[in-house]
Amino acid sequence: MVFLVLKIIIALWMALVTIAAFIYAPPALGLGDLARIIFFHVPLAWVSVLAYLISMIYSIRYLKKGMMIDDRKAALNGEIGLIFTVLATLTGSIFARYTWGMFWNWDPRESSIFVLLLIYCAYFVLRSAVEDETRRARMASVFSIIAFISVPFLVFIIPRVYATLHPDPIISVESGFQMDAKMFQVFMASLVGFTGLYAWIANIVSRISSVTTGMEGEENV
Amino acid sequence: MGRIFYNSLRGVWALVKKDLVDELRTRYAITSMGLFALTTLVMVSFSTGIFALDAGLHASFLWIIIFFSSMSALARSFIKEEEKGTAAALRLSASPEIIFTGKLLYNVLLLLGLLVVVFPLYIFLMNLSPGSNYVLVVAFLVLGSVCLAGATTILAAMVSRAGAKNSLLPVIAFPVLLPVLLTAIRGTSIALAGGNADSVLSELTFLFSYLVIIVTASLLLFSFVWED
Amino acid sequence: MRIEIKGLAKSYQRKKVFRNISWQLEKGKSYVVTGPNGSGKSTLLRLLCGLEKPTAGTIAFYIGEDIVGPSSLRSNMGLVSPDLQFYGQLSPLENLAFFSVLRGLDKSNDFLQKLLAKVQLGEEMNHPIVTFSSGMKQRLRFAFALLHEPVFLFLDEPFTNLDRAGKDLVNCIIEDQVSKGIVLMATNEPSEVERFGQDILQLAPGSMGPG
Repeated sequence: MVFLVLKIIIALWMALVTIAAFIYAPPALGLGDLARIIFFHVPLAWVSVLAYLISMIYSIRYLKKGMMIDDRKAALNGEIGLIFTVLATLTGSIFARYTWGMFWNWDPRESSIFVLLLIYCAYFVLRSAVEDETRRARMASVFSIIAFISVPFLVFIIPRVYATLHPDPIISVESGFQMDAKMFQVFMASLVGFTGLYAWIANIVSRISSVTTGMEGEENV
Repeated sequence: MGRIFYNSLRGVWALVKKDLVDELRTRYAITSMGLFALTTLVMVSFSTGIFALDAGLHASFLWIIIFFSSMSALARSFIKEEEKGTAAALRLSASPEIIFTGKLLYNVLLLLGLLVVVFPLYIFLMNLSPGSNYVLVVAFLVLGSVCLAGATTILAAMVSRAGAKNSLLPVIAFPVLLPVLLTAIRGTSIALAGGNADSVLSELTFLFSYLVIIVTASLLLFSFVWED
Repeated sequence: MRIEIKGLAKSYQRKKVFRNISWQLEKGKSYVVTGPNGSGKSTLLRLLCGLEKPTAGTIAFYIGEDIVGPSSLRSNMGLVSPDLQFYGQLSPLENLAFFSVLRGLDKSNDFLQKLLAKVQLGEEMNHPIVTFSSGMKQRLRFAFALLHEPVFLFLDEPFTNLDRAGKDLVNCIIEDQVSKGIVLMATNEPSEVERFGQDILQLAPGSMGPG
């Protein structure tokens, strides 16, 4: 019952955010209507990172407790994260095409999301290569942690190598690109909405997975 | 306590020595790595011979050659133990930490060996300018290679547990190694352009801290990969 | 000195090999596990050696009344199994020397040579083992298992590929080890170990062990 109410709230919320993104929020100075993509792009990127974090937390839990359910949750959060990462990359490159003239130009933030995409892909390539279930779980969990360790280093090194054109993610005073109050409201609402959407999808996928593995005849020894 | 530590060190060294002797008798990794490096190097040299390349491009080529030629040899370090069925004897004889440290050192030596071949050849074939800060270039090549071996050792063990799929290693290693590669390329390129140590201090500390963190994490996590 | 196995179970993916095996093994005795192919004999031995982890249940090793932790178990336990291979490019002597240093032992060359002579490999101790026959490799496995003078000895199909002399040798080794500790053998051919089987565990595929 609570879930049903939550779902209806998320659905209505996302619908409102979508409408508000196009009607309520004013076009940004300098960027015009193009800026509206940030209401979708930034939350998508945020969920990509969040999903990876949650997937890794499940991986650590798996290594600690050895319950297969944690590995399954790590994997499915990773799957959802991969989809969000692909969408974030696509929306980002659409924005890049119409502001900087190219779909791809190795901007630091483009590079960062691209690396995240690579890590997700490597994670699933590794999973598909290991046949034994518990071994796969251990390899994937360890990889997830090792890959995560390299991320802060990337955040440090990439901006040194490539100069950025990207607008600041959280709007600062110095940057040319400023959000007004209405934009900020829609932006925050969208962040909340996408996070809710992610939680919803994760909930559905984990239920499907527990049903299907149950049908394969899982049984405690 | 000291005695145990001393015995562990002896164990580590025994593993390194065993791998070196085994390698010198079969020359599998050395030849595959050397030939790979040579062919890529010649290809780069052929295709760019008529252009004057700047330091950045030289650094990139060097590291691309090192990365790809090292991958198959690094993967071998664990795959050969699984393929030949010797891994079980290792598991019965020593703790995962000893095995990891031994393999790490062996991989470092392997990469240093690769450098000894690749770098002089690169200078020779690509006409590197004499104006470079060669001490610093070598420092970056060595430190970068140690980082490469440091991060790849545990991944190589993973690949060996994944049905020994040799080609898997570059795919899973690339995102993890990207910070090392980018930093090493940047440092090498500054050094090749004649920069001094002050100008690349942050790159050097970066590589060093990456190495310490990734090796510590690998040591902590290795038993999950190595043992069933 | 004893080994206590309680409620041991192992499954791969969702296929059960065996479950609920409980068994107590005591010093000075030899034990035999038998059963058809796929009944989990080798798996049981691998679990005992710590090469694999059980799905459920526990295995505890005791020397005296002290429980043996996983790190010191390595130096008290030996395994002979067809899965064990050694470095083909190295000679038996080099192989043993390597494993003894890896174990943190201080064995003299003399000790290693005597050990190889004991398993009747004295003549070939300097040849690379790629040239060895399967029987010679089996002898080397015994040398490897006895290198650190373990008290718990696990033998998986100990007589595989051995000739008459080899079988006599293995019988001698087992008798000698029984007096020092515990010997557990897994075999398809119970007749070969009739004289040792003081306690026999019969495994059937997916079986519920005794008790």
